[in-house]
Amino acid sequence: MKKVVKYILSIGLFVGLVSCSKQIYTADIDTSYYRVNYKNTTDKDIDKMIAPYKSQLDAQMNDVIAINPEEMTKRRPSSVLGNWFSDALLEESSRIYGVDIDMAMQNYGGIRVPALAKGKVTVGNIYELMPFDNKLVILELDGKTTKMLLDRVAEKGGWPVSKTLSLDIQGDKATNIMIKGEPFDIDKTYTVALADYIANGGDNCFFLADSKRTDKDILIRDIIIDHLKSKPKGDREIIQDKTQRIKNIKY
Amino acid sequence: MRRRDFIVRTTLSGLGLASGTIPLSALEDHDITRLTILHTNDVHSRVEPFPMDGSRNEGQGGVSRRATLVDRIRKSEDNVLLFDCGDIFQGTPYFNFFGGELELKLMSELKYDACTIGNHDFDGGIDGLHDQMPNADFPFLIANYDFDNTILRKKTQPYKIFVRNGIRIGVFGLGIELSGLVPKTLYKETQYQDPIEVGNRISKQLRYDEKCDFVICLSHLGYKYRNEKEKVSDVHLAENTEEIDMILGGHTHTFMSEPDIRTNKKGEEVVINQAGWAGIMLGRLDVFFEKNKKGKCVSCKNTYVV
Ligand SMILES: [Zn+2]
Repeated sequence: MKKVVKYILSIGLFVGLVSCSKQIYTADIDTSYYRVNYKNTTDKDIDKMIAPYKSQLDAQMNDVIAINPEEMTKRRPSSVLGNWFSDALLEESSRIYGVDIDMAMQNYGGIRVPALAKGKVTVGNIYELMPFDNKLVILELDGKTTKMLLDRVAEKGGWPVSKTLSLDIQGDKATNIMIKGEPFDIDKTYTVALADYIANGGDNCFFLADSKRTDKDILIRDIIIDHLKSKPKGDREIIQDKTQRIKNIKY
Repeated sequence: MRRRDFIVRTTLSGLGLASGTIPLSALEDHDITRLTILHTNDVHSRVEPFPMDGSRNEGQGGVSRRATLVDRIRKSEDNVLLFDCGDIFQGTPYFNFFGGELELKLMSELKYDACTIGNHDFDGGIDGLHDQMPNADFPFLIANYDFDNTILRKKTQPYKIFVRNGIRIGVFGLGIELSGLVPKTLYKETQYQDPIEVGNRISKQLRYDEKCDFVICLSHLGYKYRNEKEKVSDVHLAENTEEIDMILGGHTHTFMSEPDIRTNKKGEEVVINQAGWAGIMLGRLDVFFEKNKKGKCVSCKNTYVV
């Protein structure tokens, strides 16, 4: 017999339900959570429905475009996966837009996998990492707006940021901000690469909506895929950086 | 009717064995109806199981395996309802390439009874969602999105009533605030309405006008928010309404080891449950209805079977 029930707990619960039909019900509720995994058999009819879609996808998704030497996980406030992702955005954005970029970032929820596994990295993996059709845009932000954005990053518990940026989270504010090795200057203008989703005010970044923007209409997913593919075939190992770019500071 | 025959003894540390279980024989004499509610949320286009690539969820989930599990439960239970609490779309290339077509076709094949709408279900635009809806043989329940000035006008319904063995089960849907979460270019003229207000109104309507014995909310509001305590969530909804018996949730991708039981404005208990995400888990709640037994517990003490 297949034991699909990982665990079950039963909760006796008294819910006195008075319905208008004068009939009175007493409800008792048992709860179970089933793990759906290899212990469950598959359904032939369902597999048949999936097959034509799957074969179309597999043809494009199984292309190996990089080798990951060690699992990279996504964490707050800072993580190796976030570092790699934002550094790729930094490098590619300055190449695509032909300007000097001060920092690149991605909202935490914008990386959709908890980790990138060790080993072969396929096009399909990048689709799962970045399934959204978000585009990479460049914003020119005055010091005040930059600070609001970095405070938002702090309030959200830390986002993936490029190696050109480091900060501490104190309460829900960003402090000790360093940009390209220099302390943050409220009188300066900063060039920031990020997703159009955020630039449009997503994740409550409403204050960005009117910023000066350059948009070449390129999907972040395609940028990451091309970033990996652009390396010579024999040299496609991902380089990891474990630096804690954002730290939580007790106050 | 035996009500604990399906319980499998398994080991789970941390749970003690409580005493005070009512013997089975005491329960078999009455007219008891068991309603089996199955639910998923945030499946996010996870058609196939996670790939076997050493990642933490490898081999988990998959619609084909969920199908056999649901099938098995349907074979052993008389009154089964299967719901999804939104974010059906987005997360694997199946959505990028086919726009959600396969996800909805598969859910129809699994005979889902209803779903609600999650924020990511707008990822192909409201037009994309509209175009995919004919692939669903089940209704999209949503009571707090006003679609009147959109292409989805009259394509969804606020609630649906299911009658099983004479018991009326009212099911309605509530969605999360879209502004700031989904680009307006995607949801267009959809008007979001306060979930607490709408939840109260619809649940009262279901209880008193539609004479429902049990009221279930399919919610994509999120279970609760640690950092944003004011943000409306399933916990807020449970505590600030009067006629909701059960909230099946989504959005926060919460794996629960037991349902959260909260007290509503009338001092009655509300059950909140959620089943993780990606179809890794299938939630099941068996609700026992006993006729003509005023104010008597079937089993007042919590019973943990370890
Ligand atoms: Zn969601």
